[in-house]
Amino acid sequence: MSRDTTIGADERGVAAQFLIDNLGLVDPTAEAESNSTAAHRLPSLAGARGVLLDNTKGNAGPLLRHVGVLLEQQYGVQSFKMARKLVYSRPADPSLLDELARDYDFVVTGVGACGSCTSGCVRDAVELEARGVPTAAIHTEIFMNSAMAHSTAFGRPDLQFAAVEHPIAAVSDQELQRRAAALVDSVAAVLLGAAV
Amino acid sequence: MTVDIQDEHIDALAVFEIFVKAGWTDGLPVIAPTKTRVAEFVEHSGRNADEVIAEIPPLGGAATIRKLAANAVMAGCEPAHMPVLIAAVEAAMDPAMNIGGVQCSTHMASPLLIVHGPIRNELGINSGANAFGQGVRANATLGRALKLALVNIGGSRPGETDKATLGQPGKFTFCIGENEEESPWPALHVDRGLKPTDSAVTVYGAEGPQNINNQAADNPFDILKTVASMMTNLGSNHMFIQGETFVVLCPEHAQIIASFGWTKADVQHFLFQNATRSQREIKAGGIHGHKTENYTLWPRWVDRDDADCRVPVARRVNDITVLVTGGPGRHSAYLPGWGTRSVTHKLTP
Repeated sequence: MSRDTTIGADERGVAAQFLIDNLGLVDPTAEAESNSTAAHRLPSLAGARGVLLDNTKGNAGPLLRHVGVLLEQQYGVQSFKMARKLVYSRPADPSLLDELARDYDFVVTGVGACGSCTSGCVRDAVELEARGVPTAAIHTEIFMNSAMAHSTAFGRPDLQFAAVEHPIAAVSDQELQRRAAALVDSVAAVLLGAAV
Repeated sequence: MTVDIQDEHIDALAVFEIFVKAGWTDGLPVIAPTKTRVAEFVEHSGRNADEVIAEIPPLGGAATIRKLAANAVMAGCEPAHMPVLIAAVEAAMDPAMNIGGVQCSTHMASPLLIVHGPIRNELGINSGANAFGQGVRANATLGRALKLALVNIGGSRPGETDKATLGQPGKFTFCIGENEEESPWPALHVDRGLKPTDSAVTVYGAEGPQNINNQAADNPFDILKTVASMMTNLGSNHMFIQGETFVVLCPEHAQIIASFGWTKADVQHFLFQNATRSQREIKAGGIHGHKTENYTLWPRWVDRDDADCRVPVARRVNDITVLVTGGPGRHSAYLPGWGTRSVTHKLTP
């Protein structure tokens, strides 16, 4: 018999408050004080200039390229440029983000397919949005809870992501194409601000 | 529900249940961080309670001295441990360490805390027999305090933002001293430019120690060939993404090697030359497999077109870090890392 050992954030908060208020203990935890700003969503994708920011995680580049092709075909965006960050396990270099924010109308990035790369990917999306560029970050399904915990802590609980089936590193190109087809509408929705 | 923490009759187990619910613990019982206890720890640090040491990734909570003290109390530390904890957090914040990545990764790396210099003996930190094991308060509580602080302040919650597939026992506590008294060579902090009389810490994102048992060798070559054989496994990160890797020699192994006139640099060079694999072997497994475009972190001099060309475990000689720890016996250890670098930080007097 298994017992559910997960404790929700609400329950954690109640217990922590009890320890602080009723027992007079010092809170050992901390929350970020972040109020990062959202970029305006795009009115339309037709003719928009986008860039695919490859975080270099296994198969991220090929998946992004497939998503890019579909965005061109189905939403009429201009043909994509590719950018790569140095390593997936860290946030991108701020100068790269400056450059992308200067040159493009929107960014599609990913893939958050591990713990550190999800963290880096959300940080990149939040930083790009703060620079005024709507950004769709793609994560595999099992990393969505981490992505949302990150965006909430960074002051962007409203930030939407696009989810792809997990895992992606060891699947065929044909399968990546299938997943890109399943993903493309939610990427567009994130950029347009529609419900995902 | 009302509980009086000062009441000797209170049910400690009931309070522990609330700590668990609050998510303040690693799953083991903690000491309640009362205002009085925390104030005493802050006092010993000689720093201002509200001073912010760092914003700890992944979620960026502000590590004030007070918050660090609260975590040190909970971990079971003594007030005198505070300067070590503060230096450890400062070291962990160096970008070379990528603590945000370590804290979130599906990999099992966790920050290993190594203590150097006179502070080891002042605090009773174990650098002898069972150095990585249980039984000594300073090691147990300091390693635990560092991890609790990084988790509680940085917000790396297991299953949520800490996405480790397996994790490892070192995520509870992971602290050793360097056995400077029995090492034939300068200590690691001295290799890195500090004085032997300085107290310092090194923090390294590490897997658990893997035993290297060699009781037969009477010369450096045979000992270090055994070490090299451990370093080239295809399951650790290093053959693929390089970074810094750690060899912990026990005093007996180190003394045999040194008795042949070898310096620590000789050990590093030997391992750099012998802890290697052919590209053919590497591409049969591990993180990247045959995806050759991913092998960008290997040294430039590796001929990508020659499948028999051998790749070293680390990109450069000094990324093979050697230190001496432990008690009697002929067991050394290999500690593969996450792929980032360790950071050494001097304690503030």
